[in-house]
Amino acid sequence: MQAARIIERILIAIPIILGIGVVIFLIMRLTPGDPVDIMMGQAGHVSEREVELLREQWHLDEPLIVQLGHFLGDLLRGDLGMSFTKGRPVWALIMQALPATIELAMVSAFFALAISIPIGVISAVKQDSLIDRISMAGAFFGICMPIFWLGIILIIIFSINLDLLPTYGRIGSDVNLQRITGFYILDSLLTGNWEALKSSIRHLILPSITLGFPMAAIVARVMRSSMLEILRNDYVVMARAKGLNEFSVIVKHAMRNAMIPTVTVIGLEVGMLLGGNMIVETVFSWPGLGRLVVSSIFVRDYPLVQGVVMIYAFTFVFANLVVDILYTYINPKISM
Amino acid sequence: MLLEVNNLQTHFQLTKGTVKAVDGISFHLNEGEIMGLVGESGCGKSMTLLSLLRLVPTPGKVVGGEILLEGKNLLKKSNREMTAMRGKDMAMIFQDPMTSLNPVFKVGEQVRESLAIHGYFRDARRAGKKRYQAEKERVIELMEEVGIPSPMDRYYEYPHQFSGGMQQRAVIAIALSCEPKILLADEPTTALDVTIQAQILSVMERINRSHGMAIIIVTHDLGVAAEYCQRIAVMYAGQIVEQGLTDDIIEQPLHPYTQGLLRSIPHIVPDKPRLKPIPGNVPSLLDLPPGCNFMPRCEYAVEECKEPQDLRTLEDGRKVRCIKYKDQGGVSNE
Repeated sequence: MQAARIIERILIAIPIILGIGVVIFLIMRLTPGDPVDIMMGQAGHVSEREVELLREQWHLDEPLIVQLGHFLGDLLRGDLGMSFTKGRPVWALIMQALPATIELAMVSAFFALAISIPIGVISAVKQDSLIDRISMAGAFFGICMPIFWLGIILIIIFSINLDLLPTYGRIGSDVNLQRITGFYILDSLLTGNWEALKSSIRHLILPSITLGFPMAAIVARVMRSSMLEILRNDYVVMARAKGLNEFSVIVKHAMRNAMIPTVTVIGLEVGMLLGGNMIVETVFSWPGLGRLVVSSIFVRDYPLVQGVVMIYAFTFVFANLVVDILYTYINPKISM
Repeated sequence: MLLEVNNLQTHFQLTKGTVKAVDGISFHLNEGEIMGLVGESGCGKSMTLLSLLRLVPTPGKVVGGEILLEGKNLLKKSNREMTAMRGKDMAMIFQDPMTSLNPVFKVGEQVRESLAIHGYFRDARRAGKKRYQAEKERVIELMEEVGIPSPMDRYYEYPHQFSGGMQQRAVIAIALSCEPKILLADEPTTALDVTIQAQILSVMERINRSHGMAIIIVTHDLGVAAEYCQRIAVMYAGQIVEQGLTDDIIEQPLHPYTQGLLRSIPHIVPDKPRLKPIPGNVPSLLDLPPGCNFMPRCEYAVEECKEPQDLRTLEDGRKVRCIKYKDQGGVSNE
């Protein structure tokens, strides 16, 4: 794909992200509950004067349209503002939580793809076999099941009953780890801290299964159905007639083609992993973006919610762009 | 004899019953010969070819007979031996070139793959070149041979950048790459328009001459068979109903079905009588008549046709599956 086309796509993304900014700005303001009231309510006895000062400081006394103008103007300069409740720049809070979210999403995606693609392929090749029936029933379960319920059930089984894995957090409280990148697996490898590596992997297992399972279920089903379609093609018979062994026929000739529709789904799902992890992070007390946004919604911390949602919007737009670029590589019929 | 097929049976086990797609087919192929397998859609021609390579799709299965390639029975070979044989001893080309090439690989690479999997140039370095380079050179030669213009550039193109005719040439180049003894061509020109048809067939004929490659052409077009094949076998509902030299069959068809086929070909001659189609339809393979399969549509049907008929060999070596010729030297009453 030409660089010019990529730049064009990025430029198109800017108004999309700004549009999402306007929507989230308005939704937050339309939500009942006022950040100053919530904060003052928690603080107890406060004077009228203090309330007014706070409103002034947070620019809540200005007309809505002016506030929006400030928000969008700051956004274009890359400034997400100050958090109402935490007293720190939103950007710093996001950067602190982002590695946790990315680490969880990447491990979940890896887990999901590592099981779903082979399962999809095997189910298609052995259509209607026992393996196919069992895995498709499992996939159906994965699609239907509420994610918080799976998380809680896994905690009950593996943490409470079997006492094998921790129930919350990213790392054991008794483990010391020097933070370099914020990705704990990477940090413990860099510092050669095996204790921390073991602890962070143990903490990742349940959340990543919970988060990755629905994605695995969808990808397995898409992979299976697109494989089934591809296997009916003449070029698969042709590949066999050339003298290729069955493994090469499936993996090289059929899978390459079956990946084309699957990549679209994977791209959207990876966006979901990064943006749709609020429930899992809350269930497992995972200190990432999802938990940050949920807690800031409760206290109506407008700048923080807006900032995190902007990150989510950016992630989705970026994931789609990556899919489009990948698409031109795996499908020679498409050029951007 | 290069290839001898005896009593080949390929059945599809369906819940509704057994479909005998190939029902006891016997024929042979001589070295360097072009043979035609002619019949309507669904008569088992394609399944016969796929059976030869043991590539019948499930739930189909070769359930009986033997396929002797240079005396060795292919049905007794292991899967691994079959894989090594495919493409190398017997190659196949398909009806629709648009779908026989893999859309995600470069055309040249698809031709090269055949050379690579069968280990051509594995050690034999060609004029001091590396293996990949040697394979690529051979691919370009092959593409040139089948008439793909500027093969150097087209090596790197994808199938969708080729026209139908060019795609079929590329498929032929793949089949030709390992110089197999036999080329199985399943309706190679059906999906192409008439001028391209003639070009593709002449490419195949040229390969037949220059490489001495024997070819089985499966076609529903008696005209194609008549022009390019030395011998023809006519199939109907999974069986061969007539077999013989092309000239004999065209000039004096024996089986009522062959006669019917020939009568339904339009001729460009003045005062030719109206075309006479064969009445009725091909029977469902799930519900065949008990005796001769053609009996319900046959104008000569007699009581004895309710019994299964054998493929009789006549005195002149022709074979026909019809009661009319039970006294051996029977002649057509056309």
